[in-house]
Amino acid sequence: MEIFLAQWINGISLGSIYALLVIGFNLMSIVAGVTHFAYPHVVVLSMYVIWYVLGATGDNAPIAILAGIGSGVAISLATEPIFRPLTARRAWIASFIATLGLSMIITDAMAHGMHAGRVIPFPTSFVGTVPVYQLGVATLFRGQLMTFIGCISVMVGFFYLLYRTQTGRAFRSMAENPFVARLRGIPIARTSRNSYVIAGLLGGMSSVFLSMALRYASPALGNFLALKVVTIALLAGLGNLRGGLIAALIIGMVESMVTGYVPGEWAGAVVFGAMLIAIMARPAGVFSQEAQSSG
Amino acid sequence: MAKRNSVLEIEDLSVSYGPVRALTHINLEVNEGEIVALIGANGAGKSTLLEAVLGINDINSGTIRFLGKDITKRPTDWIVASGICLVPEGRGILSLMTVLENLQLGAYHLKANFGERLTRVYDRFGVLRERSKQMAGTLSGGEQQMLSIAAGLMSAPKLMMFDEPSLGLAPVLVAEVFKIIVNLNREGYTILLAEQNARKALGIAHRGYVFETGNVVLSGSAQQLAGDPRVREAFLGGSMK
Amino acid sequence: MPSGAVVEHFLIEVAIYYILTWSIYLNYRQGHLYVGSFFTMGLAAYLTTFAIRDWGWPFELAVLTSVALGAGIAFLLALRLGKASSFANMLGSLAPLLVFQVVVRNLEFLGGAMGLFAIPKVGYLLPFTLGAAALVGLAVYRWDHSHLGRAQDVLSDAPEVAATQGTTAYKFAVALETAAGAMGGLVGAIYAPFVGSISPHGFNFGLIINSATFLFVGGHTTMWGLVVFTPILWGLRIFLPSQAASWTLIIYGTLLAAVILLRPEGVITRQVLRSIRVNSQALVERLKTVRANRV
Repeated sequence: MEIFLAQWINGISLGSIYALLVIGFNLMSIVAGVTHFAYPHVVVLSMYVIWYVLGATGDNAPIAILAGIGSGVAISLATEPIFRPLTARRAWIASFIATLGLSMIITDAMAHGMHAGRVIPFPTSFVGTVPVYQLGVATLFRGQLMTFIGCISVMVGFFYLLYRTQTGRAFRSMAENPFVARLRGIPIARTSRNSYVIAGLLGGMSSVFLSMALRYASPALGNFLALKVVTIALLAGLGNLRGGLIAALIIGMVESMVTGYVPGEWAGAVVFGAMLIAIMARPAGVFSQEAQSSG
Repeated sequence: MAKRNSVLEIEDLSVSYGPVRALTHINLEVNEGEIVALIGANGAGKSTLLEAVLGINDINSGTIRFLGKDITKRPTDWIVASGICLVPEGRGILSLMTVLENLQLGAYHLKANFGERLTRVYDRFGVLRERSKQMAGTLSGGEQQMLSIAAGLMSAPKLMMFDEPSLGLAPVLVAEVFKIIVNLNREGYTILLAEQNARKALGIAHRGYVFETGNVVLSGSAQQLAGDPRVREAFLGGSMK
Repeated sequence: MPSGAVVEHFLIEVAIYYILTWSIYLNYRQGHLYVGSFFTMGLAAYLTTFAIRDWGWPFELAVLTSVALGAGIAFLLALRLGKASSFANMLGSLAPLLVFQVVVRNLEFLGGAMGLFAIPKVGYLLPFTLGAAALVGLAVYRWDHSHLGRAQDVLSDAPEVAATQGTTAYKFAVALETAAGAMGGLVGAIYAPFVGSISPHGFNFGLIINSATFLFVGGHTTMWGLVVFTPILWGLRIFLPSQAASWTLIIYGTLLAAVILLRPEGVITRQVLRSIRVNSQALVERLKTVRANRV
């Protein structure tokens, strides 16, 4: 029972981080029209930034967190002008391949430039391995709790933005029908840029939570996350924000449960196997409201 | 006759889609309080003109002036903010958003007095008030058209443009829509209307322009055009050239 | 000057990448980024290892069985996958590879994470591989220039037509995905004796990234783009000084992103081929006239 609880807690933390990543990824996909495969790689890059700042400031957590979030926004904004021709074309596959290229650049840069590609550990003071609650053998660590609360808060904030503000409505209108959005006088270029900012913010925050939850980072982490994120986003139907959230939480749970209960490292097989089965069953996407025909 | 205030002046406008010429040397004007109709067959360039006014198409040459100011090179969001709205062909609404959200987006540039304008729009279109929380996609064709018009009204436009408002609607609804347009005009809205249904269009318009393959081939008061044998013949099949 | 062994190695690797990249090319002609050949490659490599190392099969038999296995599995997957949108198709073809990696890693009798060793060499592997690549190239050439190939072109050039030709697109997808599976099987059977030892890690996303780079940088609208660029790009590792060679991934990534943004069809487009043909015909005519004048 206690193991179950521990895995459940782990699963929710993991799942909520996946959810944040999927939301950011989907936002870019529906508003900017860019299938941003390198989005998780940028997040990992931000994790490296956090690590460097921690090292340089003697483990000053608040500054490191700001640096992480800031780098997320900065990098996102920096890529906006580069992706602009793709945004105009709304070319899904082309943007996927371009960002694939970007992911290769980032991964290799991290492998060469940062800590010689070795795994970077996050100091325990940052991670919060302080146990907060104990139920027999199961311990709830501060880091997990903060991750969970943090992610939920961010998600709530994001959905508030999306459903209760003009900016959010502008995003959704561009996602559904860019022509009608133009007729309503929505500034297309500016709204697109806003989505880069929000996606960058979400990414930066994800990097903070990931540092706390995973407690390490490595160049290989980028691909590892990206494959999962793209998978989840597709499972739910590309661009389906609510579906993506649910799918991410489920996948996080499944992964955690399998890791906890099944000996060996079968989590990956189960996750990707589930994806394969889902795609075979519903080639158009599991939760999509309309079959998204991309390409 | 004293010149009324000019709302829209189009001078020598030419628009191309790549190598294809869509509009050639168009001259057109719309004055305050008028309903001006653009009639002509499908593909004659009427929609292209409306979209060019809104800054959606690339303009090769010519000028567009709105309320005296040159808007030719301006971006669409600027043009909409300055008071031109387009009710497009085929229901320009966002079906995955609610009626209310569609109206909120209509007021994107005009945050002041939102509540007032919303009430007036709901007073005009009672059915939208009933369905305000429903997804726009669940509305009937006629209701969606009304929503499209309402969303345009939310921006307090000084010029309302309609592209084929009768398209895809049953005759009863078509009459409804045209009645709405006439009422809007009576309240003071200036209207530019592109419509394949020449009879209906000329029936409510003050003046009109006849389009054929990207050119204005005839213009005049609505009565003159309605009585013109060439117009009659054209809209029963023959060409005017 | 690289030694004979290095050159032989290089040629086999290039030939392998030719076959794998052509398999992506064939399917991408209709917008499907199908990577199933990498999965069947893994399957075939393992099968061939057991076949020629433990069961005493002749190499040719292993090759034939691998091709058949690859085709069969790809066919079954394609029955569902062929209906999927571009993205679902890509992920659906990637998932089996990811699942395969995890499953094999966990199964000791398949060698686990360490893999399988002591795979016997095949003496005539070089000419065999080159011959295989030539054969596949010929088949691709015939497809490209057949009326079926041209019909497939219409599918991608005119999506409105494609919508009405739903069943044809599906049939093409199934046929070409099966072909890709067979090609992967062929490569896998060659790969096992070539490298001498295999492990699940070796059949990874990196192979796909390389192939994608060769295809999209070289030019994805013709079969010849990758022919020219695979040896050039793959050769960077060998022919660049070792410092620069380790940055290959960044070079690939930069080229990939740059091509998509600046010259989306790739370097060698159909225009380029046409002008080469026209110019060489003109040149031949010139030479004939010169020869005639001299006489």
